[in-house]
Amino acid sequence: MGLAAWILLAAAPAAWADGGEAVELKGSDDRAAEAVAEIAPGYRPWAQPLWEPGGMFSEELIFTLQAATGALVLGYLAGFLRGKTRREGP
Amino acid sequence: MHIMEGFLPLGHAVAWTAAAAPFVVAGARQVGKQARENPETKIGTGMAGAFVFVLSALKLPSVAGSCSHPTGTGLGAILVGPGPMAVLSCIVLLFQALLLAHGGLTTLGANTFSMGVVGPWVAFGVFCLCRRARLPLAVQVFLAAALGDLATYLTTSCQLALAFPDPTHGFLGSLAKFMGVFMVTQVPLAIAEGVLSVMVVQALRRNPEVASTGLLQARAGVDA
Repeated sequence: MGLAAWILLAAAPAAWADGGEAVELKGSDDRAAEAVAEIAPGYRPWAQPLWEPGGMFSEELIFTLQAATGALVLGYLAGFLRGKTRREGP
Repeated sequence: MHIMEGFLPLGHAVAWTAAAAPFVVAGARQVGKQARENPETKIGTGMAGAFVFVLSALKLPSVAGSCSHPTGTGLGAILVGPGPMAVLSCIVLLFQALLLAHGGLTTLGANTFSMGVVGPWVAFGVFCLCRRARLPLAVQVFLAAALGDLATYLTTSCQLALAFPDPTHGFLGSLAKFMGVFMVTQVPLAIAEGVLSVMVVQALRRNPEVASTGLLQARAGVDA
């Protein structure tokens, strides 16, 4: 119940921001990089990522994997706590 | 709050790495020590780390057509103390730098400093202050998590403004610009993170086992 309310709250700005139209959301990290380009047009990043997501391993997939890994660990530990409480009593 | 790979000049990258490293080392030691002395704390540390893993993967839409993500470090700082959050954040940031090209190895120090050091310590400080002011628990957790999240993004803005001062208006001119990028997007997300953190703490409090695992031990520390 609370979780459903939270999802609504988290999604609310989207509905408000795009007013029904599909708008591509830009990450604030990318916007910061644009701001750097404006302030210091001569600056060239001196390192590149070793590997970038693409093809089969899209960014969405890896973000999902990251969230899933975290959720799996959270669920496991929560179940462990619950089992322990049942075994030993409160 | 990820400063992208190569987007900090070498000197800044080295300095932020040097600033973050002691916190990461101390955090790792603290986690190891706690685990040896009281193995039950591993559950709390694991939960705090997993929470950061989940939340920092949630790219949420925000105002003005931009998106960003919560950090989840405030809740962790409340549950297991701010120390371990440096090493947990560093692990998450390393994962994202290597597999997502979000942030980078050269900016890992700066990003760890904002997300793993400033955010958790601000959250913990706010939590202690609110506790001393005898505010309700939900308010304590909400303010700690939301302000910790904002502090992380404020730190990122400062780091970028220090590296790229505006040619005419200097550091402050740049700071205003970077804050315009990060803070506006982050306010709704910080509120969402605060609400979610309150929900998690209240769910944990209902579990009688939680008390013995060292979770919410920060609370006990403040009580003493």
